[in-house]
Amino acid sequence: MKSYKRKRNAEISVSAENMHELINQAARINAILNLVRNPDARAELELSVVDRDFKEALAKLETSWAIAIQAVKKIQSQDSAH
Amino acid sequence: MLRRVMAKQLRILIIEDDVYFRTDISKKLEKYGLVRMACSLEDGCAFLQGESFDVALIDLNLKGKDSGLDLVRLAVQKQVAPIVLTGNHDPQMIARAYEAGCKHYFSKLDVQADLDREIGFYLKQLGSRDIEEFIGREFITRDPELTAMVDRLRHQNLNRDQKILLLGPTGVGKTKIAKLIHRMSESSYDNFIHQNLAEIPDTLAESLLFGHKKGSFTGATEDRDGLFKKADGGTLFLDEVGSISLNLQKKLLKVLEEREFTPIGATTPLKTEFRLIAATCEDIVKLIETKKFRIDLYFRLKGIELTLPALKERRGDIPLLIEHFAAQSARKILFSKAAMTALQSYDWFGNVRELEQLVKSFTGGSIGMVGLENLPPYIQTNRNPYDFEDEKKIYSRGISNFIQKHGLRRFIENVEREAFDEVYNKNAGNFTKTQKTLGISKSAAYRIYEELQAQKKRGDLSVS
Repeated sequence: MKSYKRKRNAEISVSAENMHELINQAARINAILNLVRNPDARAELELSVVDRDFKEALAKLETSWAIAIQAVKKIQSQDSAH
Repeated sequence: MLRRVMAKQLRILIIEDDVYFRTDISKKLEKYGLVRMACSLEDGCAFLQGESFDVALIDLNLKGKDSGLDLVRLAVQKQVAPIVLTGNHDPQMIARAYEAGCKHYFSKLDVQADLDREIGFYLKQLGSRDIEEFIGREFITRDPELTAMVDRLRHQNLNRDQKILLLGPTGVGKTKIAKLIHRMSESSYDNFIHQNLAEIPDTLAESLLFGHKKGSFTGATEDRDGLFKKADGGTLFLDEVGSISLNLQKKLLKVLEEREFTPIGATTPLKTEFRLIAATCEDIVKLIETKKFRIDLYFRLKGIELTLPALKERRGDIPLLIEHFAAQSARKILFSKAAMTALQSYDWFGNVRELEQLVKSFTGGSIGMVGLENLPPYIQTNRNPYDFEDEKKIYSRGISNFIQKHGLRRFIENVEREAFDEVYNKNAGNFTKTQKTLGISKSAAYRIYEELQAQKKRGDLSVS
């Protein structure tokens, strides 16, 4: 029972960190979109760099999202087994 | 909104390592004032140490985990309001941030809507600090009634439509109160136009207020905007409104009712929106009773009516004001206890303005320790220097008839001789002392003395 709790807490901690990453990347994507939509801000951006960063943030978001979903499913299945 | 905050600028620091998030937030906050950006823990520290800010938006996870907490503590230490913007939703971290002194903990994801509200709150705080400073710096009082009045005014939600009428004797600070109201109002970002209507003849007042078109009257060589147009969006302070003619009162009433005016010589009316503050030192009720002021205009002006007390009704403020006016000069002066007592007992017929001028005459003078004997005689005796009743009495003693019969020159000569004779006798025949007391030259004193002797020999007529 103890080892289960330790394992579960570790998983929750991992998912908290992953959530942090998820939120950061979502906030970054949202900020990029806001800046690109704002004509004044857009003029100051180097669009090729923005494009690269956007794709990178999107990839990270997808990874975090996948990890988060996986973690949630794992916790749910473990909880139902116990 | 944007123009308003230009007047009251917040100083905002964003400490965030994500360049896009940092830039996006800074673009959103630019309208509130000066925004500075730091991309690292070290930069953030340097900004907080080296510059002054009102608010700091801090990302908690800058370099290492929760490194932003140190920045929160530093901001608190520097009296900057810390707001945390983070992707970290861990309850333990939230608790630690609040323990460190953060004011608000926002998730980066849904901060956009809340940020405007929170920054608006700090802007309002800044505005009220601005007003506090203004009161401390320019409107000096500890009088409970006056303080309560200013306080009521500060907490009143003053919208532009609300007219304000300031009453009270001359020199009590009506202009300062008008400026304070302007600062507190939503129109504070715009013009404050002040016009003393008693200073201009009625014929010019109309052109000044309404403006005119070129060629609309002799001397109108170009189009000129009137004060109603210049004050659009801001505050128009019409001082001594009791002095304008009934004709102009009628026109002013129309402008206030219809919120539009037609410049002289123009055919199309112009729209205008301004806050009107009117003031008069005259007894407005008496003016209405004697049909010199329109009652409908009075009711239109008196949305909020404030009567400022004369300085003699708040004598406790006199030492405070003396100290305040004296401190404005680099040359330091002191008042003796006796002088201070006399200054506090005097009725200050010209109110704060008179007190200010007196203190400035000493700071700009050569006396360092002002004693009772250095104060003007009318203060020592608490006499109104603006009261010309004595002169009226002299005039009523048949002087008018004397002047009509013998001419003004003869009258002046006789007054000179009488004054000389009186002072000469008081000084027991001391010529030099008499000359000095009368403040005239030696040659003038000799001339009057000789004329006086000749008159006495002739048994000539006197003014009284």
